[in-house]
Amino acid sequence: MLQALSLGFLVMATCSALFLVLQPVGMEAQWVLAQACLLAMLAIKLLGLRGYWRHLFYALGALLVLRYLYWRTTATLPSVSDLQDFVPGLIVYTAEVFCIVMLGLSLFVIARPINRSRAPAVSPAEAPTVDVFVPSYNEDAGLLAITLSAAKAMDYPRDKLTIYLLDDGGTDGKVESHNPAISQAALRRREELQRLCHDLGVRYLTRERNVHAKAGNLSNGLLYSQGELVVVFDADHAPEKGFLRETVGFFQEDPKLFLVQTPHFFINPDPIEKNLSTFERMPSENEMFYHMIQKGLDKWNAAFFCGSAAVLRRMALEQAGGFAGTSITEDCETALELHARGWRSLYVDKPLIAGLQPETFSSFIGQRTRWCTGMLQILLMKNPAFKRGLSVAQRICYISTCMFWLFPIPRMVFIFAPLLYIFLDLKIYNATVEEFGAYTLTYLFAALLLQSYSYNRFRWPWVSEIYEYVQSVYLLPAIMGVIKNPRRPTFNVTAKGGATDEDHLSGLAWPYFLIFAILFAGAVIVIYRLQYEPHAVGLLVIVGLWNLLNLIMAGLALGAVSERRERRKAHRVPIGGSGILQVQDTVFPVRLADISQSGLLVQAHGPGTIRPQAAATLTITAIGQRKDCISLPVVVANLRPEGENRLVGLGFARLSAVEYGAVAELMYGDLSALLRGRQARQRGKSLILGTAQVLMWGLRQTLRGIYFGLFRRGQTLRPSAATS
Amino acid sequence: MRLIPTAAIAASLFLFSAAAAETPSRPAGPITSLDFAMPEWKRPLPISLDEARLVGEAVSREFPLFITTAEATRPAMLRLAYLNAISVMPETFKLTVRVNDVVVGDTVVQNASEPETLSLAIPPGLLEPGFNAVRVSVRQTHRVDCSVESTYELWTRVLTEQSDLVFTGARGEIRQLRDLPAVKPDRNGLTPIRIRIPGGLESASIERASRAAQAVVLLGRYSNPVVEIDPDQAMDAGLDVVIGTLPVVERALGIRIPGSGPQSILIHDQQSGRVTLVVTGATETEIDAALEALTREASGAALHGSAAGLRALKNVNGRLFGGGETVNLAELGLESEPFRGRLYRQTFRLQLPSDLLVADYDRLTLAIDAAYASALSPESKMVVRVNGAPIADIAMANPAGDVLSRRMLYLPVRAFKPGLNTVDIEAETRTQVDETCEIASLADQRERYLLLGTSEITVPALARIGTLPNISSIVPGGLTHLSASKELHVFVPKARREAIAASLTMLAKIASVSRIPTKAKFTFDRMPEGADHVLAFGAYDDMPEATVRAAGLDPAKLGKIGPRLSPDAPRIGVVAKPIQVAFIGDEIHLSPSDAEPKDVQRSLPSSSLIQLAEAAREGSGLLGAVKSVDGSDLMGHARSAVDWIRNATAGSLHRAGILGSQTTKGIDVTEDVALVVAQGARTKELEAGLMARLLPSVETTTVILAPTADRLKSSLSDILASSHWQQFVGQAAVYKSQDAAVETQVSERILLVPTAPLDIQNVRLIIAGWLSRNSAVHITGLLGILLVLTFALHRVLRLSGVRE
Repeated sequence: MLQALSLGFLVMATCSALFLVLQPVGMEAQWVLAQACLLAMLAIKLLGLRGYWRHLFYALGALLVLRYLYWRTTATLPSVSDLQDFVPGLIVYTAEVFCIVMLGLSLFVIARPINRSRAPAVSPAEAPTVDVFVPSYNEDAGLLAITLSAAKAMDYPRDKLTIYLLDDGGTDGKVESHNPAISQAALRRREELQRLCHDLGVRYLTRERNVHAKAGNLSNGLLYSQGELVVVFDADHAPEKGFLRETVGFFQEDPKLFLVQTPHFFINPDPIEKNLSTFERMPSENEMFYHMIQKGLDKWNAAFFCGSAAVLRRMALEQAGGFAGTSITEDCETALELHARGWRSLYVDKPLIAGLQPETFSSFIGQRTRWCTGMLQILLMKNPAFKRGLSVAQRICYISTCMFWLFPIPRMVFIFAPLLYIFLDLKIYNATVEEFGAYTLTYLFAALLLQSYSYNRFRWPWVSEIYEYVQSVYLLPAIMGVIKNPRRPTFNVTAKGGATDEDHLSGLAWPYFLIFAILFAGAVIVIYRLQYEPHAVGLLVIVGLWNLLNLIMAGLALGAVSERRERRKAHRVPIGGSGILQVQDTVFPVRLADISQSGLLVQAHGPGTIRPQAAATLTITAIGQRKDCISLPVVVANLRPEGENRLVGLGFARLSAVEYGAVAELMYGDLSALLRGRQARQRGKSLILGTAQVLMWGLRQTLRGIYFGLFRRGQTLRPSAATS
Repeated sequence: MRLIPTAAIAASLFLFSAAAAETPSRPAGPITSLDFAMPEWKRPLPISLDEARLVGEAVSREFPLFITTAEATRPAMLRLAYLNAISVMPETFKLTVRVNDVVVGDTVVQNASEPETLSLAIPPGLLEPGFNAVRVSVRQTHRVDCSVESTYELWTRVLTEQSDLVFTGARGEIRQLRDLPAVKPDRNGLTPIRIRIPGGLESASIERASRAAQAVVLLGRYSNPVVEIDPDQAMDAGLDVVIGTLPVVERALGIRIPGSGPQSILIHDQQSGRVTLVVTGATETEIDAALEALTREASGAALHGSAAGLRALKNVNGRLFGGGETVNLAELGLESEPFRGRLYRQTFRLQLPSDLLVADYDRLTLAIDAAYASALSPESKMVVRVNGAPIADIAMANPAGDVLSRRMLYLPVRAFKPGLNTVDIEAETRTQVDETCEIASLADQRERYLLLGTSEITVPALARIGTLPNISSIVPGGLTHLSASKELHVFVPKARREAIAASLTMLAKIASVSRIPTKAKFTFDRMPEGADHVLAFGAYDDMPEATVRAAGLDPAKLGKIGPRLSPDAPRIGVVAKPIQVAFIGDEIHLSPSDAEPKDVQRSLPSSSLIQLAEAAREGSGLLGAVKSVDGSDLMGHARSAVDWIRNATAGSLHRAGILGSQTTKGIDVTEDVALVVAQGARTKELEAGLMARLLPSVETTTVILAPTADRLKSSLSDILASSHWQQFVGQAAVYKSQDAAVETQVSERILLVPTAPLDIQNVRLIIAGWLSRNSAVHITGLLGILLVLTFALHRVLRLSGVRE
């Protein structure tokens, strides 16, 4: 009743506001209105007001956006009689409307993000049985050993936890392949992994044929397991010990709960972060999704399965016929199916796994292409708008999630739209300079403020634009492909590793250079036209600035596709603790610095000779709350002095199952140190500083990109031995 | 009353009767016809004194000329006499005459010392029965000066008294009512309508005279009618209108009128050239019936003529726009010719509805197709002025020249006003060589600029609601339109003949512009009671003080009027919420940078083009910005953009009423004032009902005053026939005959009166217009609603979705 009353009140207030917003009150009134709104928004932002004020902020922003949309629709479109202006004008308008609709949808999604309380504790007796699925296709045994060991080490009653390695790289189909190379590799892999699983106490599962890719593999796992709950970890996603403690309790509480999703937390930078050198300072791209959007989706019971780091209820999955495989994003599709059946989901905003991201630009693009095409497959084949059983809010959330991936279309439209005026003198946006100021600039400023206020801790100004542009170049053709044939895209496994030990230009770089050259030519033409077309100075300045912004983005992208070398073969995690390094007969007390899948870095004290390539034993005596000692066989890889001490790089010798468990525990047993480091990056950047930063990056990366384009072209894609 | 010599009438008469009560258009045969063979029949050109002077380097005047069916078949010759300014360079002068868009002749003979006459034979078949267009175009440059200012010294005057259309072997027969447009104008381009009322100046007879005068204006399409009552002198120009019962009329005219019953008869004296319309009947009721039939005939009169002629007719009083139309400039009379001078100027006249709500809710769009030549001065630009104020501009500084294709310019509705508006398109096209101004540059006849007729003006849907007080809506018929009874009360204290004539001239002009006859009720002794709208004419001394006060004037300012209060002082009712509306008196700025309130603005006389040029040079924020930018000077542009934003903020706040408020000052009536027009508006007592409370009935009193009745008549005729009336805006204005200047007083409190149907579109525009003038209310309301909305949103969000 109270809700209906409030809703009625809201509808009335919205109608009255809309009535006033949609009045053509003229430019002066618009100026006053825009100034008032922007000042109020700035005040709310600067004072850091939340709660009621947060919603007022959104309402003020929405007002300005709607004013702009009204004016844009009624006053700026070219006449239908001038088709050469009208058609491109309409395309740009549609792209803008798409962005405004997406802004509206995302504001709905993040209207009130939820902070969930901790999962209730589960007594060992009542704890449900849990099956952990680690699907694998081509990952190496070392990586899998770490992940499986970490899964095995999770705090949970031993008799209720079963770990499965779901190997799709050793299927019967592959083993029996007519191609002897494939057949032998598959057989070798199968035997190696079966041995590993045996050593680790993990179940090895494979299947006849590779059908329905990951979804098929997971569904196959369901067939051969019985646990009440199913946990999915990607092969490179090693869980923290407390993973189940933080998630399973929710299932006891809510029998209709089908999913508890946790964030994906990565220990390495994505290639753009790496190439732009922002990893240490700036929040990663995925943090906005995992720390804001999923929490927002959770409010509307629409947090969805992200393919890994999640707990699912077997009963729900079986009801839906296993993991859905219509699209190549089986995770989101599965969640959509189960939400439509009335099951509920929940999101825990606490990183409980650590994983790896693609390291090269091409694998990054490959991963994003899969996400993009998969989400569009859902939009085209299982449109959430018409899916039975979903609530209105869930429909909006899923539409928002799927439609987000159409961003390459407006992004490319905005990249090329200014050129229509610069090169062809098409008038696709009818407005005076004053109107542009009163409506467009205030709208853009409001949109920037909205973005900054909502996501500032997780996304610095202009970073979305950079990522969108970089992806758009390759996603746009993919979108066209999926629209043409929605069933065509197939699952491609995201390659991890592949970084080289030398700087090189990505093999996908040339379109970025082409676009940069076109935009640069546009900028030159603008300068030329400014000299010779003084009648159009106002318009030229506006269009020129727009093109300049695009040019800066394009220049930044040149840096993003100029791959930095990666000396380290495996990504390191900082750890604390101490131990003893025994090299032949000499013993050195050491402090642990960091650890990776392939070795450790320690600081050795005291005199004595340490020779490279010498076999040694590292005994770790104190780390975190561990009481027992672990001894690991190591080989001295390198040495460098540090003051009176020495930094010693140690490589693992062949490890046993128990030793893998120890390494996994060292790496992922406690992610808190790593998390603290990441949280330190989650600091907002003001619009001014953020913009200045992007301008600086733009300049630097353009030069770096051009340098790579000139001098680092020949060394494309020579993969190093490094694997993740 | 002086009777027309009866013998003359009897000697040469063509009679045409439109038996009013029967079929109005049925021609009746001539009763008496003493037909003299007329070797030549001259038709003066209907060009007013104001328009006869062609000022500037490239000027053209187009006017409609009505040709009867008989005339159209006869050989015709156009005789055009003109005189040039001494400053016009003989080598570059050219005068071209077009009839129905076909060049019939031109001349390059410049003559500053004595009238030069150009005689042009019009090719047979070019003239069509009905309206035809005659266009006189002049190209002239200065003989010693290359400055823009010097172009205002260039003029060619068409000598209307020596210019006519001459038909050979034709009798100018005005036989039917539909030939009334063929009535000759006088040499000033005015069409005198001489009313003769044999019965005396009773209010009923004046009302009939008013109806008859308006009917003939509508039938004859006279754009500059002047009504006289029982004039002393006889003229062959114009039309006599005789109204009375049959015996009275017969006695007055000395002829026998055939037939009986209500009828309107047209008599054309071939010898004297005088045309007389007789409206008569056996009784007064029959006279009214005849007038009724005449009015009906006038309202339903069909137009015919050449396409160009009908176009010229549509534009003669300003093209009528109701909102939602797009018209190209060729249709508005643009002569699309390459321009070779230094200051191009083309004026378009737009007649907007009398109930136009002036506010910032939309804009007119001007899509310019034009081209300019290379090597113009970098500061060259095209400026669009609305009612004299610069509103938009385009720089023309590409050294290589440029073609401007559908370049959009936006003219806010708030720059316009009800009634006649002018849109001037100017282009300064000086070259570097003009700076030195040597002989070569003086004779430089290179084509510099071309404005194409395909350029279009689009008038958006307009908010239609009466706004009072607003004297600019009088001529386009606003007062009648606003009246619920569709009646206008005309009050002429002391019933002086000249004042009555002035009032009839005003009504005739209203009919000419609005194309709708006004039903006027005349009173002479005291202010009519209970009338919605009163229009009072008189000398200062004749006008009761109460009427003056009701019109919002301070009687003390009229000097001789004492502080006595008339018993018929109107009641001042509850005043409705004011709305600030920008009329022309409210300054129009290209940029709000100099939006300081200036209450009384001295309007620029239309002839003082130099002053307009000065005003343009003073410029405003944006103009300044555009001027200062030569491509490399981007800093200047950035600076001016910052200034502009700062000024926009301050200006917006001013307009929103947040920073100070405007105060208005009354007009000063000094001794040199020839005419005072003032209007006072007030609400009647509140009636029941929401609508009545929102938009209460409004009554107005409008006074048109002059020092004497005689001057009232002459000043009003002069003003209505010229473009001066366009400058009468706001709630009061005075006209000073000495320097032909108009001073206006901005309307302080505006009352709204519904006129057009209050449909969704109109109501929305009206609300938007109101809100745009009351930004403070708009923003406060919106932010208030937003606060409430957020509260509701906050609650709903807490209660919806997953509960925390």
